[in-house]
Amino acid sequence: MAADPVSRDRATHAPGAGFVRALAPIVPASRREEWLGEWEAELAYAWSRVGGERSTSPAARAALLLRALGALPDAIWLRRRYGGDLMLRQDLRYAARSLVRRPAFTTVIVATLALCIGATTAIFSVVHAVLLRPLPYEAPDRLVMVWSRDSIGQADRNVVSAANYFAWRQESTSFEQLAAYFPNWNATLTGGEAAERLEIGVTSANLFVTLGARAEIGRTFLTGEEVPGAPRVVVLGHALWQRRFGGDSGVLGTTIVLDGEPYTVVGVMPRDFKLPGSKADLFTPLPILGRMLEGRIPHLLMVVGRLRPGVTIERARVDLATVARRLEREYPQSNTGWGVTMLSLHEQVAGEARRPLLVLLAAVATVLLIGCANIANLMLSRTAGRHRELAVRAALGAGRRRLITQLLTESVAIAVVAGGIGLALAYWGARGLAALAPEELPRLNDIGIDAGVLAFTLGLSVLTAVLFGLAPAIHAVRRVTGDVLKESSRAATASGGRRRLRNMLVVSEIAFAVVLLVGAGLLISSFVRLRGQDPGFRPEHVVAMKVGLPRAAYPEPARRIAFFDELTRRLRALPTVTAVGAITRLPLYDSPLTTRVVLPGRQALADAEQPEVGLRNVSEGYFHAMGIPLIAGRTITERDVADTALPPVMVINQTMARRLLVGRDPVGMQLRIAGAAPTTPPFTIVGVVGDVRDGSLREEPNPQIYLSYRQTAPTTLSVILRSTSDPAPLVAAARRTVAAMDPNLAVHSTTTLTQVLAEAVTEERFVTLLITSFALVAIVLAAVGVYGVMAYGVTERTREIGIRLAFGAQTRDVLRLVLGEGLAVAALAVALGLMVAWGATRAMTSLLYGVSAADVTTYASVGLLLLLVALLACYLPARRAAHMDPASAIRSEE
Amino acid sequence: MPGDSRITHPTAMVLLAVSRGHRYGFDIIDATGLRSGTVYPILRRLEDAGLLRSRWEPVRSAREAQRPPRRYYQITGAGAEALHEALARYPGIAKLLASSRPAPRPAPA
Repeated sequence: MAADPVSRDRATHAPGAGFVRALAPIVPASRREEWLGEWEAELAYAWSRVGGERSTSPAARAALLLRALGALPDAIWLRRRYGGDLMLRQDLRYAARSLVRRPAFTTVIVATLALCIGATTAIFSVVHAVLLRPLPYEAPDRLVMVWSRDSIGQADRNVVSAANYFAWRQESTSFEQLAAYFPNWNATLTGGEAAERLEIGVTSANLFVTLGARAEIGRTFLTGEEVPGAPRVVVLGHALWQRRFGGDSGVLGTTIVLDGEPYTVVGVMPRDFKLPGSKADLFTPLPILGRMLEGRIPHLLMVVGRLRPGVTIERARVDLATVARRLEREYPQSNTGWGVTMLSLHEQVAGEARRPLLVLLAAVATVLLIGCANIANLMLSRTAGRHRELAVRAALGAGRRRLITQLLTESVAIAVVAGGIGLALAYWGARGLAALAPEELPRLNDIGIDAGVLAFTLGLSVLTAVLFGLAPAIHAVRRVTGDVLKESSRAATASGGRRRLRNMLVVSEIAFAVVLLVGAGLLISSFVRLRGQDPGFRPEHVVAMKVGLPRAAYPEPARRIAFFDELTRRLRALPTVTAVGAITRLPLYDSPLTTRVVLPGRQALADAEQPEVGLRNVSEGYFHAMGIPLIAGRTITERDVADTALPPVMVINQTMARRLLVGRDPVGMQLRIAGAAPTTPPFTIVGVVGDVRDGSLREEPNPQIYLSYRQTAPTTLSVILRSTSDPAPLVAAARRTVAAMDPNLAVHSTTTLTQVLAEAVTEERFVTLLITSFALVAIVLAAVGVYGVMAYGVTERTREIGIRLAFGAQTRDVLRLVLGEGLAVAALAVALGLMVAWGATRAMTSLLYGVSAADVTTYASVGLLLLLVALLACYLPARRAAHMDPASAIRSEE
Repeated sequence: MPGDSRITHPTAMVLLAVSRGHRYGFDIIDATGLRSGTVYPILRRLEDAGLLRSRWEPVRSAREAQRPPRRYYQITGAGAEALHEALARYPGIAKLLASSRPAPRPAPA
C-alpha cells in the first residue's frame, strides 16, 4: 500500500501526524511502516472529514491531537509483543559490562559528572524555591503589593500612611480584600520566664483572609478588632508557641502581657506561615500602633491586596491611581505628589533575588559544560580503543543508528548513576547554601529537594549524556562504518577528525573558563571595593544592643529620659568602656525613619513637597562613641537640652549641608520640621558631622538630621559601647546593669559594629564566594582538559616526532613545536572567551560596585592567567615528546 | 481466545462494534466511546488471537479520495463465537452501541 505523493502529503499535515511519526521508532522495525500507514491514514481521513486545511476549528484540531495520543500505548504494546530482541535491556547490560571493565575511567567520569550535576542541582534548588515556586498563600497569583510612590522625592516604593490605606480600602473597586501591616513592631513579653523582646507583626483584621491563611488552632482577627479601643488580642506564631508555651493548645483564651498591657491569645498560626518581609513572632491588630495611625504624614504600613477575579493588575493600578489623585486634591498638604506603585506579590518577594540567582545558575551551568567537554574528550579517546569491537558489530549487521544508540546508552547509564550521586550531593549542597545565604533571601526555608528539582536532575542527567556522548559516538561510528576491519586502522584520516573535535572541545572549555574567571575577577574587585568603603564610623571594639521600655510601665517622657541617662552613666562606669552612645536607628542595621524639613525661604511649599531627610535621635555621646568626625560647629551637649529656654538644636550631616544648604554656612541656621505645629520653635543647626553609610554600603549617604533623644523620649534605643579591647564580654555586664535597674526589661539585638558591617555585605559575599569557587573548579577542569588533549596528541604523533628527532631536531625544537601548537589553540580560546565574557558580563552590572563590566585590568589578568595555565598544562606532554627515544618512537605502532 | 474467558468489557465492545460494521480504527473509537489508547491495543490483541483479521482498503478508492488507504478489520468465525459468549457475559453492551450512528458502508473490494 505504497501511498502516492498527494495522499501522503495530505497525511503529513493532519494534526497529530507529526507526533505519531516521532513515535515510530518505538514500533519494531518489521511492523513500523504498516503501523505508520494505519495511523496516518486514520488521521488524514478524520482530518478531511472536518474540513482539512480549510477548517480552522481549534476544537477539531485538539480532538484529533488527543486521539493521536493513543498511538503511544499502541506502539508500546507492539514493542513489548514483537520487539523480540529486547534491545534496551541488552544495551544496558552491554554498557554495564564495558564500564565495569575500565573502573578508573568510569570512576573519573562519574565523579566529575556527579560533582557538576550536584552543584547545578543545588543552585537550581535555590532558584526553584526562591523564584519559581508559587508563594505559599491561596491563589498567590492574585496577590499584589501596593506602595506609595513619591514622585517628588523620587522614591518608588514607600510605605503607606494609615489614612491613605483606609481611603484606598474604602474607595477602590478592584480588590476583594486590601490589607495592611507593620512588619516589625517591638514589645517586651513579661510574665513566667525571663522578659523577652519580641518582633510583632501588626496587621489589619483582614490580613490573614487576604493571604488565605488560616490559624492552626483558634482563629485570626475579627473586623471589629482593628478599631482603637477594641479588646486586645494576639495570634501567636508557631515557633513562639512551641518555644515559650510548650505547644500547648490550652494557651487559647489565656492572657499574655506585652509592654505591660494584657492581650488575649485567640489563635496560633501554622508552622509554615510567614508574613512577607517580616520575622514576626506573633501578630496583633492595628491599634497597638497608637498615635502612629493618626494624621496623614507618618508612613509606615505595608499593603497587600487580593485582586477580584478577572481584574488585572493594570486595571487595579489605574483604579488606585484615581483614588490617589482624589486624595491629592482633598489633602494637598500631605498628599501632593503621592501616587501608587503596585506589583505582584511574587515579583515583590522574588524580584531582587532574581538577578544574582540567575547569574549563579548560569555560572554553575558553565562549569557543567566544561565538565561535559572534558568527559567528551575522555569518551573520544575511549571509543578510539574500541574501534575493532565496533567494527565487528557493524559487520554483523548493526546499522549506524543502532551503534550510536548502543554507545549513547552507555553515556545515559553513566549520567543517570552520576545524577543519582549528584542528587545526594545536591541535598547537602542546598542545605549548605541555605546556611550561607543572606538572611534576606526570600523563602530561605523552602529550599530543598522536591518534585521539581528531581525532574530537573533527571532531565539534566539525560541532557549531559547527550552533550558528552553524542559527538564521540557519532565520530566513532562514522569511522567504523567507513572502513571495516582494516588492520592498521590508525590512518591519518582517523586522527584528523578526532583531533579537530578534541581541539574544539578544548577551545570551548578554555573559553568558558575565561568567562567564569572574568566574572569572578569582577566580583572580587567589586567586593573588595565595597568592603573597603568607609562606613563613616569606626567599627572596631564597639558593641551595640537594643533596650526597650514598655510604654505602660514608663508613660512619662521624663521617666524614660531619666532611665536612659542613668543607664548611660552606669554603662560608662563599666571596665574597659571608653564611650557610650545611644541612637534610635542604628546605621546599616535599622532602616531609617524619614521626615521633611522646611528650608528657609520655602515655607510656602506644601509639606509633601519639602525635601525628605533621614531622622535619628541620639544621645550626647553618640558621635564620639561611634567615631563619627565633626566637620563644623559642635555636637549636641547636655547644656542644650537641660536649659529649656534655649531653642532646640539639631546636627546635620555633610550631604545635607552640601545638597540642601548650598553656599550657606549651615551652623546657626534655623529649620522647621514639616508637619509640626506652628507654635513649636524651629531647630537651630549647631554642627555638621561626617556622612555615615545608612541603608547599605553601596548607596550614597542621604541627607540626615540628628536631634537629641530628649526631644521625643523614645521607648527603644540602640545603645553603643566602645571598649579598649574585645567588646563581647560587655554584653553580659550590660544585661546585668539593665536588669539591676528594672528586671522586667529585655536587652536584645546584641551585635558588634564589625558584625554589622560584615552582615551589610552578606549578599555580595555569597555571590562572590560561589562564583569564585566555580571559576576555580573551571580552571582545574580546563587545565586537566588541556593536559589530556596535549598528552593524547603527543601520543598520536609519536612516529612523526620520532622521525624529526632522528633527523636532528633538538629538544627545544620539539618543545617549540608541541608547545607552539598548544599555545596557539589556547590563545584562540582565550580570545574567544574574552569576547564572550565582554558580552556576558553585562548581565552582571547590577551586582558590581565601583568596577565596570569592561574593566580592562581584569580581562587582561584573566587572559594572561589562562595562557599561563595552558602553558603549564602543555609543558609536561611537550617535555615527554622532546625526550622520546627516536628509534622506538618510529617503530611504535601507535 | 476460544475457551479463554478473559474477554473484558472494552474488548467485548470492540468486537461488537466490528461485527456491527464499524471497520476502521477511528470509527470503532467513535462507536464504542473508548479512548484510542485503549482501542488499538485491543485490536492488536484480537488480531493476534485470530478473532479479527485486517485488510487494507483498495488503493484505487483511496487514491480517488486523495488520501492514503485505511486499514479495516473484520470479524472471523472464531471471533463470532467469542462475541456470542461476550454478549452473554455483558448483555448491556448491545444497548451501548445502539446509540451510536450506523456504520458507513465499506468501499467495494
